[in-house]
Amino acid sequence: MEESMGVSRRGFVKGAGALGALAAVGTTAAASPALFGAGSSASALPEEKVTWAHCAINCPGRCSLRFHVVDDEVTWVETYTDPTAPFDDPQPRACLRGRSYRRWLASPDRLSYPMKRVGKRGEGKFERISWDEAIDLASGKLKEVIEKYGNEAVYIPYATGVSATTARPFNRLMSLLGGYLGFYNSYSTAQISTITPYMYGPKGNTGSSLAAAEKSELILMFGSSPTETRQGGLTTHYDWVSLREKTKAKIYMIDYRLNDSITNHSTQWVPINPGTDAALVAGIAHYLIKHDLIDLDFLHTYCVGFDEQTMPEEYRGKNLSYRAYVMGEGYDKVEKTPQWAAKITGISAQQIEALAQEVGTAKPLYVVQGWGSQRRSNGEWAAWSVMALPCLVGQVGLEGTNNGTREDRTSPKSVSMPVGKNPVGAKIPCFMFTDAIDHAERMTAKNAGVRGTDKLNVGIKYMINYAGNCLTNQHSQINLAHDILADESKCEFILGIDTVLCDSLKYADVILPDLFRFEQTSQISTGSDVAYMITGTACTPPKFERKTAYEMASMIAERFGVREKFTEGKTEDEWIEELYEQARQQDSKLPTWEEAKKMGVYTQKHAPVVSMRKFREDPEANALGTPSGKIEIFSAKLLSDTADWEFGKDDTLPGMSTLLPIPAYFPEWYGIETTTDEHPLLLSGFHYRGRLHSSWGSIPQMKEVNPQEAWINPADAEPRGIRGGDTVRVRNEFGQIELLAKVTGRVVPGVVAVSQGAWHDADMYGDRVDRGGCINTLTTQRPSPLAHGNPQHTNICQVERV
Amino acid sequence: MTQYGFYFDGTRCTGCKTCEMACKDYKDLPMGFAFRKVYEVEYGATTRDAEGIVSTTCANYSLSLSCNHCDQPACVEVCPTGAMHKDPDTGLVTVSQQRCVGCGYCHMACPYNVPKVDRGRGFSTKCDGCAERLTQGDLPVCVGACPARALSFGPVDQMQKMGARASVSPLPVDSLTAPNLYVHASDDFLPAEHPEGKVANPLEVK
Amino acid sequence: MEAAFAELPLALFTTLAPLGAGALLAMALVGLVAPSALAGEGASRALGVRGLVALAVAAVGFAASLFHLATPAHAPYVLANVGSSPLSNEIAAGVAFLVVGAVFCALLLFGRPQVAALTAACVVMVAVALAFGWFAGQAYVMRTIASWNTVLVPVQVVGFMLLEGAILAQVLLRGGALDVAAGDARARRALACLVVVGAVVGALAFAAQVMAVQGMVTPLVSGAQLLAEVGVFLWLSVVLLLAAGGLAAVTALKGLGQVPAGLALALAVAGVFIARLVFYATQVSAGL
Ligand SMILES: Nc1nc2c(c(=O)[nH]1)N[C@H]1C(S)=C(S)[C@@H](COP(=O)(O)OP(=O)(O)OC[C@H]3O[C@@H](n4cnc5c(=O)[nH]c(N)nc54)[C@H](O)[C@@H]3O)O[C@H]1N2
Ligand SMILES: Nc1nc2c(c(=O)[nH]1)N[C@H]1C(S)=C(S)[C@@H](COP(=O)(O)OP(=O)(O)OC[C@H]3O[C@@H](n4cnc5c(=O)[nH]c(N)nc54)[C@H](O)[C@@H]3O)O[C@H]1N2
Ligand code: SF4
Ligand code: SF4
Ligand code: SF4
Ligand code: SF4
Ligand code: SF4
Ligand SMILES: [Mo]
Repeated sequence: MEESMGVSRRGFVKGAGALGALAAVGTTAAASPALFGAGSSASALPEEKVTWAHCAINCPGRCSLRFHVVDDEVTWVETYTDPTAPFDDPQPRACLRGRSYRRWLASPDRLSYPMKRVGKRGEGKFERISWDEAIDLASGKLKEVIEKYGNEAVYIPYATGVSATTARPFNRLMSLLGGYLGFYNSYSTAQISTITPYMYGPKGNTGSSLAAAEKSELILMFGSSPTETRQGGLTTHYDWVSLREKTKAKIYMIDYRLNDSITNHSTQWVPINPGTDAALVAGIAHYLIKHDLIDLDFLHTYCVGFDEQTMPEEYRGKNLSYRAYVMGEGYDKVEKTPQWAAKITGISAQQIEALAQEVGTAKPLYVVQGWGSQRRSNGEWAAWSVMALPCLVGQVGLEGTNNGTREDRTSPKSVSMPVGKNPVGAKIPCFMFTDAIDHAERMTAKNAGVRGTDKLNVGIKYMINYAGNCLTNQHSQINLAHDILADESKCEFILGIDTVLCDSLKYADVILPDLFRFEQTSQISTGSDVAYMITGTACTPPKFERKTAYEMASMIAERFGVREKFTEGKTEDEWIEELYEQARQQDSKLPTWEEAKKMGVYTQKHAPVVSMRKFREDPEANALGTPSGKIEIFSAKLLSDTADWEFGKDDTLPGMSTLLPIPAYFPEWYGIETTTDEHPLLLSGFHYRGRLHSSWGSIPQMKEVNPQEAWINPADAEPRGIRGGDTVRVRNEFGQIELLAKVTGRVVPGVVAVSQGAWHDADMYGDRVDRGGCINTLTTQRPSPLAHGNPQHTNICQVERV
Repeated sequence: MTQYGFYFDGTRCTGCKTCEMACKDYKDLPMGFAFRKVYEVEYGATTRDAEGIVSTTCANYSLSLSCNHCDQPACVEVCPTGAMHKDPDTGLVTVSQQRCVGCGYCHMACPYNVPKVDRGRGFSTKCDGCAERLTQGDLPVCVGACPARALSFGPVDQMQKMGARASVSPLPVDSLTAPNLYVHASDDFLPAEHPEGKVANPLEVK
Repeated sequence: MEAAFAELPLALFTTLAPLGAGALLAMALVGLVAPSALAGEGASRALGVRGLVALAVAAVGFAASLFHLATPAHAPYVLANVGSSPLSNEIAAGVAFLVVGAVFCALLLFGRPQVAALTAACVVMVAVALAFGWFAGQAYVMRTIASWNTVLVPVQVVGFMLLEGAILAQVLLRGGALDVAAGDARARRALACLVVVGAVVGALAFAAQVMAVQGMVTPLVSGAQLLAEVGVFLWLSVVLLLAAGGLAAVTALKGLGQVPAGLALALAVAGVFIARLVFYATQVSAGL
């Protein structure tokens, strides 16, 4: 590991004379400040304070922020930057959202006082109360629920608004109070994280760094837009721009829309029907098999299940291999010719063949996927298929290759505050919390993926929703979520902690106003090709009655008599410093705490990571954690794990009674093969540059230049009389949303694309038409078959002009 | 005089708008105002045939534009008060608030749609090249903000080495005002005045 | 038309200032072609008073233009770039007109102008009013605005000025000591001439200039589309202008009463005002 502290040490260049020529400008302009307009006012201002901080939102960037503060007011938000630095000089520059934090932190809508709900749930009517009353209410009700229903009735929903080393105080608190119903999975990667261990084993299955692709000849990227979803200046956005510039590889981006990572390089776009990546891979596999471009040696040595030869004993002779599936000998007995794949994917047979020819001959081949193609009803198999592709041609574990998962990210060593051991063993898939509020008694291991117990004993009665908008906005089928949450007999109490009144918080019974991480000491480690750590201090003292989450949790702990246990006698700052010292013990090169605070940004350069290199070098000594120790293209474990599960209609291929044990294609529930006359269009989401999920979704300055739009192809817009900029209504069986139309060739015909995360804006006690354009008004709560994950990109709809 | 200008790398830009929002924050611009705007041009089509096969000729590109501090600034030419002026030393074109009458002629005349009168504050506003930062040896905020490192600023002889004077759609031909914007175009770029060069994101650049 | 209403103060200015200027121009022209009609102190005073009314109308136009400015207090600076800025030129011409107009009226009111002096004053008044009309149009001629970069722009403004100004003069020059319009035939023919020339030149130049927008496109706007949005108003204003010209010519020649002349005035002012809105609505840049 190569160490580079140079950048950080140099720190922020201000008037460092790096701009020799500009010094001349300086003199002239200084001599005549009036010529430069308002500039002269700066000198009249009181002294400026500048603090380091990090963006704490759920985005791998976690970029550096520099707050410029005058008189305890933030005047502008800068970032770590030296504009004269060469391209390769690592700089975790914040994105447009980070640079707009001032609009959020000083927003008139910012929560400033504790409040209690005075209207119906979801109505958004609250009244200011004192901290004492708020903590009394929250603690009193918590005691009551624990006494009456047990700790399994307490739940801390999936919520991603804060990332830092001390960002989980409420989990720690609840562990001390007897525990809480746990969850597994994420909304981000439920399908791919569930399927990957079946194929590559539970550990060591991560991808190669993007930088590793520099050496490849062909890069295939499925369902990913790194410049949109990792936007900062030292995260994948930058890595992608850098890779594109440095590599000689040909790049193909497979997406149903020409995403922003393709912008300016449009020839890289391979348009595909959403939800059909597995079919594309099968079509490519067919060509590879037919043209003898398969790496059989690799498949026989490193993998199981490609063909009969490596099928597990008990499954031999049944045509259950991947090859049998592709060649039409097993499963559905349909040959997966490029012509077959063309009909499903919308990619012509010739193009599939040409692509397959390149895949079969280009070495090294770098196959990578984002998480867009897996956040779907058949997403486990889509993700698995993309991972299988490089295996078919033996392009795994070698220089310039990747194992088909998402690109690796590195990060400096860091230690988080222990959340303690949760005495309650039961866990649910995070996506199914509304089910667990509504009908926990019917949820079992076999029908709902409940873990740690066969069935749930009690429904969720108390929730602590800290830094999340997943109760409604970011969850699915908002109208149903509303009905479940609005019923106070079901979940009896919701404690909401946020900075703004997001849609989910409208369901809270008590609201506590939080401080941002840049309004307190905070530390985070992150990175992608380059690793970095950011240490921040408060830009301003707490304003109004806002408190840190750590303080809030401590106050509740106090009511239960466990304050000491919770804090261990430490302030949060002391925790952060102590945790950092623990990290330093594991990596002595990390700067001291004082240095870290001063430099703000600390970077570490790494050599590119090649995934599964060791396994490739010696598959016996470095066997994978799968049952066979090999890469499983056929997974017997998947079959046995799910043997007695209850499945829904269309959770597998027609006629099959089990889930698919191979990376095969089957139609989405709401997909290209399952549209209806009433809802003839597909509806798919994506993550938008103008927001991080719903975060920044209420900031007018952000909305102004990042409008909420439905992308629609002219072929679909024209017959409906829709022109760019028109207000349109998108509807399906779950609800209706209104937003603006973007009529564009950047989306394939037949598909409407709506960015996820817009603020839901409907009168829930009236017509329920969502005028905010939140796609989750239109998504289903039905979980995906294996992971019980959120299939939020799988939808159908109709669109009309308003 | 040393004329200063911008360089824009169309092969790096991803249309992310960080430059625009960083400027907006630093300059504390109200709603409806942006000193830098990111234009998107789109052309071609994505179609589906009777068999359901999709084909595409669609291409798009992004271009981040602020004031170009032109050599022949139309805004200065029409300004009745002399408020809009070109600095004799740096060539930066800025507005003198003390003189500006807020007539909006610069807004009408600029073929890059750059100046805009802020009636609330009473004068025309636009990118000033972060002149006050230059006096301290700093570069413009937008340049240092770009996560993709697509922007540079400096004496034009340096910018010229990296790109050609902007004459790409959706901008007018460079002969109109001789803009000090130097562009490294990606293959997707269309020349200025190309009939297919349409702004694809009009709502975002109003 | 949204863009046009944003320019409401300008539309008012370019309707009212030429209206007043054109009226003074027409009165001065009457003074030239029919000096005998003005002979006598009563007549010249009467003309002075009516000139002041015209001047007041122009001044209201100028006042409206101040609403267009974000900082009217800085208005004195607008003369800074006379010679190079078309707007400075316009304002300079406007100020010249106001000054000359005031002197002209004062001369009529307080002086006892000899015929020669009166003639000279009238010539200057006509010239300065014409110059103002020309520069008021010229203010929009910018090389970077494709739709306005044509001589048809000042020509149409001068045409409008003649049309509406002559009608206003016709209305004003009635009754009392000075019923020029009812009396002197030469004066009436001159006014009729002005309205016809003004209506035809103004309407044609306007229609031709705006129609040329049809073929203009930028990456942001299509001239054809702009035109489609304002087409009705374009033709409405042309009809109004021609109707006003026709009616005013008849009222001038036949010496009809105030009502038809007033109607012609209303038609003309409405026509010019709508034309101005259409003009602003069809701005097409040479760039974005
Ligand atoms: N249709 C559809 N839905 C999706 C997705 C999709 O692709 N399509 N993606 C899913 C994914 S991947 C995810 S991760 C989830 C994310 O869903 P969430 O975790 O709900 O993410 P956000 O919407 O960003 O909500 C974060 C909340 O934290 C608050 N917050 C920010 N900073 C602070 C702070 O300092 N303190 C406190 N207390 N609060 C703060 C914000 O105001 C906001 O309300 O959404 C999922 N939903
Ligand atoms: N700006 C921004 N950045 C973010 C977030 C955000 O909300 N906004 N959220 C953050 C979080 S928590 C997460 S989990 C990640 C999410 O990261 P991802 O899940 O990778 O992001 P998505 O936008 O859902 O999908 C990526 C791309 O896949 C495409 N896609 C969708 N369905 C399909 C398909 O079936 N096949 C193919 N081939 N392509 C498809 C989409 O059009 C999109 O361009 O992003 C993170 N970064
Ligand atoms: S890229 Fe992500 S982490 Fe960085 S500033 Fe933007 S939102 Fe924050
Ligand atoms: S910040 Fe850079 S990449 Fe983003 S739009 Fe601006 S120039 Fe393009
Ligand atoms: S870009 Fe426009 S505002 Fe800037 S100097 Fe050129 S003409 Fe003037
Ligand atoms: S608005 Fe100001 S800077 Fe622009 S032309 Fe008018 S006086 Fe000049
Ligand atoms: S130079 Fe300064 S004022 Fe101009 S666009 Fe960049 S940040 Fe804004
Ligand atoms: Mo996520």
